[in-house]
Amino acid sequence: MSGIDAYVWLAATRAQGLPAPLASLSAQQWEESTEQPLRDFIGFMQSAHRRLVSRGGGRIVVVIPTIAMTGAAGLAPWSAVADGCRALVKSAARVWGAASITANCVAVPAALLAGTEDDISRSDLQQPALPDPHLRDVAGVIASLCRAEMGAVSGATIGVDGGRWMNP
Amino acid sequence: MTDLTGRVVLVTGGGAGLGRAICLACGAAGATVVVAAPGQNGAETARLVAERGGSATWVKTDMTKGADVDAAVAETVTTFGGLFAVVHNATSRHSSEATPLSELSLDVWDDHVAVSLRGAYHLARAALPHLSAARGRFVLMTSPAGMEGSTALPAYGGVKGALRGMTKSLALEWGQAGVCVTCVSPLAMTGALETAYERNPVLKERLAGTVPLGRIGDPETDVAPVVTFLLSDAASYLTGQTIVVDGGRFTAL
Repeated sequence: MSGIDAYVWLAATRAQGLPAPLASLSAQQWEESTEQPLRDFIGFMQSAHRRLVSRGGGRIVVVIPTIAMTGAAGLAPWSAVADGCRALVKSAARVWGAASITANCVAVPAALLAGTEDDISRSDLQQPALPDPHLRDVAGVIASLCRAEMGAVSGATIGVDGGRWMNP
Repeated sequence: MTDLTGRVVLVTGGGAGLGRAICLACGAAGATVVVAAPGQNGAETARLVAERGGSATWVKTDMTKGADVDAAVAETVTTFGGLFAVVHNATSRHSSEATPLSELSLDVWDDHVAVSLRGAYHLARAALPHLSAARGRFVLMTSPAGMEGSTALPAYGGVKGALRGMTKSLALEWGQAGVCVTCVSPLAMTGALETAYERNPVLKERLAGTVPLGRIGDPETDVAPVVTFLLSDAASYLTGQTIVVDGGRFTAL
């Protein structure tokens, strides 16, 4: 077997992890933190689709911050992008399943995804049931989603956040 | 009946459909309504509100242009002395055009973003000082497509999902200022759906069959009253939520 069986997208830029009130953003900051990342994501999804269709199927995994589901003060652009990606992944999953392509999201703590030291999500509100996840924990879930026996999982968002949010 | 007397409400995309229904409901509840719409149908909505005894004015507004949004908010505040609530209902004119995600052009995507998402950003920037002063409301209209995804309308679903993400963060960000931020996800009749029914009469029964209450919602009698509720005193402790008004169709939130 040659070629690529799975495509993974990290819905994050370092700038997106820097909290700032939405109303304080310039038009250029808005464009860079919100519109361009969404445009890039559309391009990624279309490109992954083309390549996976030609191979007879495969996996798409999109890593998003948990703030897509919970929100975080000062991170409106990032949560908008992440929840937008989540909706697009569901749309893709619904249609591309016929081509044996699955598409899922893995939701991880915002700080882990942004590569920042500070916990920029709502750390005061909920403590994780388990220790904070490491990158290897996230990688393990992504790898699992690429296994053949996970072929019936599509359009889902799987939280890898140590059990902090326990979203439905 | 919900009482919005003395409240000034700006509704985007108020020229037709659900936006018009929201304007009519707000006017009937006693609010002063500012119909923000790019075309003359905004004036017609204002006339209809007045015809029912309400107070409304049309402000020509292109949501994709920050200067237009700034001017609409400024004119509202200058004319009526404040702004209590914004209801962002405007969507791209391409909203009901079916395009698979694999074939979605960036031009069409950008148009969706420009009206819905960038429009929300423009509104947030322009309205926040006034909403803070009034301890007011910011309501973003989302869609079932934003929660479930959509086979035919992925761009529409994408921007509506993004609005939900924005809502949750803004609710947290603006809570200290006393501003409530919510989403409404309606399943309601639209002009596009009526046209689709005419083309395919079986569609009406099939769609209604997916709704536990057995029918597609009416913009004016099913959805708009929920919006006026969110603008009322009764909803002053409600923020960061998506209110699903869909006859029980989507139960997985």
